[in-house]
Amino acid sequence: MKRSVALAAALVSLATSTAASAQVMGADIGAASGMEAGDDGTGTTAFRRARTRLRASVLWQTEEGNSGMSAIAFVEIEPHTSFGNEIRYTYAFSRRMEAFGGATGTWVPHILIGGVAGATFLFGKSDMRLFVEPSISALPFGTDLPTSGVLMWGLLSLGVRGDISSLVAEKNGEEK
Amino acid sequence: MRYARAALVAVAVGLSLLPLLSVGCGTGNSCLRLSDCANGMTCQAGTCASTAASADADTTEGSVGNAADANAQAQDSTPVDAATTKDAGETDAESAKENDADTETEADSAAPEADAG
Repeated sequence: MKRSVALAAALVSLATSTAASAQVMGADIGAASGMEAGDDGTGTTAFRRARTRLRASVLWQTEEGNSGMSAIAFVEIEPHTSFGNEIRYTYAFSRRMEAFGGATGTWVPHILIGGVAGATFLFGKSDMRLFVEPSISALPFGTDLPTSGVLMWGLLSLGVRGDISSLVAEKNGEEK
Repeated sequence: MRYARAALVAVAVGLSLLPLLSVGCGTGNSCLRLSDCANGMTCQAGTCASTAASADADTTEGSVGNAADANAQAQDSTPVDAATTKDAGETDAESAKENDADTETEADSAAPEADAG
């Protein structure tokens, strides 16, 4: 538990320092599903399809453009409903590929807390680009776990990302 | 940097296959999270079970234990019961003898009437 608190504190401080020197760069919406694994109480690891979720995020990036932070809100819609958030540190290898790591969790109806890591692949050249985002999450803490085991998510997200900064720049240019 | 990109792509491709692998996994009543179960239910051994049923199961186990105790006590008290039964049998035999005697007396008293008729 102390590790998760320290991780959360580090992410918050990183987000604060990044946001101080960053501007909003983009936002995305998408959907995700995949595989969920964990101890179901029998002492063995059980696998099943993960809940389908809808997500929306806002991405901040530094002026250098290589690193940034993103905050995501997601809603798991089927077969059961829950609400959660993610906060990520993102590093861009190129305009088409990014890697990220951060904290994830659900808050309603039960609490789950853990870490997430993955990669984002962007397709397209316009301000609205498609993204494919595989990720893996490990959630060892929370009241949603029937046992003391770790719940794992392997998710694939698909969606659209919009480059807000260029839209803002265009709007400012028009106003000028 | 090139190796990092290659590793990322490899991991990404592997993770991208997970949704395909997960097709058909799990059943409607299975649970890995408490929120998989409806209100008033809990996740036990991968299955949603009502908390009331769990309490009933505990009660049943208790009643089974009580029944076992009762049987043990009954076995312990069997000799006493047998002695009691034996006493009762003797008592019954004595009363049967008395009944027989009464019957014979009645028959004897009825016989003179028949003779008189």
